[in-house]
Amino acid sequence: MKRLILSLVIAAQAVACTPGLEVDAPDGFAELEEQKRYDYRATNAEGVVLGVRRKKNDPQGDLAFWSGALDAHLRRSGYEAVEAHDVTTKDGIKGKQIRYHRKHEGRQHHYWVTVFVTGDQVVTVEAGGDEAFFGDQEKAIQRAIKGLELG
Amino acid sequence: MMAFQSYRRGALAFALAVLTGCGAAPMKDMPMAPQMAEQVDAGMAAPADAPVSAEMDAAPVPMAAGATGPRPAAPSPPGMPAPPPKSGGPAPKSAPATAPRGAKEPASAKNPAAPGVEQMIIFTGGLDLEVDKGEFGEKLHDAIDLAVEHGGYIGGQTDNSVTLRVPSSHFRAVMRKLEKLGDVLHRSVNAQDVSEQYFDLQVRLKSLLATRDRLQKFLDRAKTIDEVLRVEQELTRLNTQIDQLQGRMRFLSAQSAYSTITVALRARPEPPKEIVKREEKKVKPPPPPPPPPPRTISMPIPWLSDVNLDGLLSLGRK
Repeated sequence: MKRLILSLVIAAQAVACTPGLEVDAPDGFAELEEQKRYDYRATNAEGVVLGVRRKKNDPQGDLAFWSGALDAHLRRSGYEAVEAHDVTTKDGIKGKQIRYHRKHEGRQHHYWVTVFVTGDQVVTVEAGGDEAFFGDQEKAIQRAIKGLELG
Repeated sequence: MMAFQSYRRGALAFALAVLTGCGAAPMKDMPMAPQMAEQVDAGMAAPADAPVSAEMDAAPVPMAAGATGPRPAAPSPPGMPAPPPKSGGPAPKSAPATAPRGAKEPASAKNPAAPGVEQMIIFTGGLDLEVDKGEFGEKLHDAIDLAVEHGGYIGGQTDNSVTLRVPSSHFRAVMRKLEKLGDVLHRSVNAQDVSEQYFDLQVRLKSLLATRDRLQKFLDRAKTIDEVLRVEQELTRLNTQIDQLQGRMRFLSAQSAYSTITVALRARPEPPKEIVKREEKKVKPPPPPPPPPPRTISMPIPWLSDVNLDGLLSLGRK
């Protein structure tokens, strides 16, 4: 019984703390707890959301592979790519950011997907929101992406 | 007395018959002569000092139209434009056709068939030129300018042709220059020698004039109204014939003085449209085949399908 309890505690800590990933939430954003699909997710009052996933680099691929795979997937789903930028975190990890436009519930939305590859991990940072509110948060989101600590 | 009157009538009839018979052909057919001979008073007879035969001998010998052989140069008829000069000066009746090719046309030439008579030749030229379709106006103006430079003038014009009148002495030179305005499709030159015709008209006119003078003398001696009317009727007929001859001579003179050149322009044919289309088809490469449909990537990465805007914005989802 003691072993079972100890195992549950350790597992709970592993999920909650997301070791090796630190995100500074932009001003005006609130972090959402108990995420399953995201390792981190935060939103502001206007519904602009920032989400981070960390997945195993399987199949083993570099930044070009993963950014290409994500871009192909989104284009096939009807996303319109408008810009692509190279980004670098404060730790010097290089990533690729692709910006899309997408109609969502009758409104034009902006959707940014940024990919980092760190050895055995693939980190995706998604940011999206209504076009009317997203523009005000672009700089804050950029700062948050550059301030990522991927471990 | 009666015998004397009969003698006078006979004399007058004889005189009229001789007068009307010695002129041109129409005068021979004059139906008035016998009737007049019967009615004209014997006092109208020619005086003894002016015998009809003497007048006839003094008159030039008329020649029938179409006759050939040497003919004397006729004097200028009264009321007529000056006849062609025998030599020197601007001569409308030049003979470029008889001049050596390439030599400058002489101002005048003697008629070898009728010594002493100027040659009168009417030149008519035609040129069909092929030019570009857009050059019609420019080429027509060039042709007119060319004629004016040589002392000619424009006789008529349409959208694609012009009729020029140029001095006959410049006919060949103008033709040569006109041929350079385009590609010659057809060229024609016609020369009509009217010297003989003109000379015949001159002779007939002179004869009619002489007849008129004699009738005028008869008119002066007429004593009865009937005589006056008869002679005046004949004078009227003569004057009509004289006017006709003079008009014909003026026409021939004018026609031979200036030659007529008609320049007609034709557009260069465009290449057949079918050939153009085939050439265009050869130049243009065939359209590329439609691109294949995008390849569907079935990556064995389940979480990729979770990356989307809907999932990001669905905050209630856990």
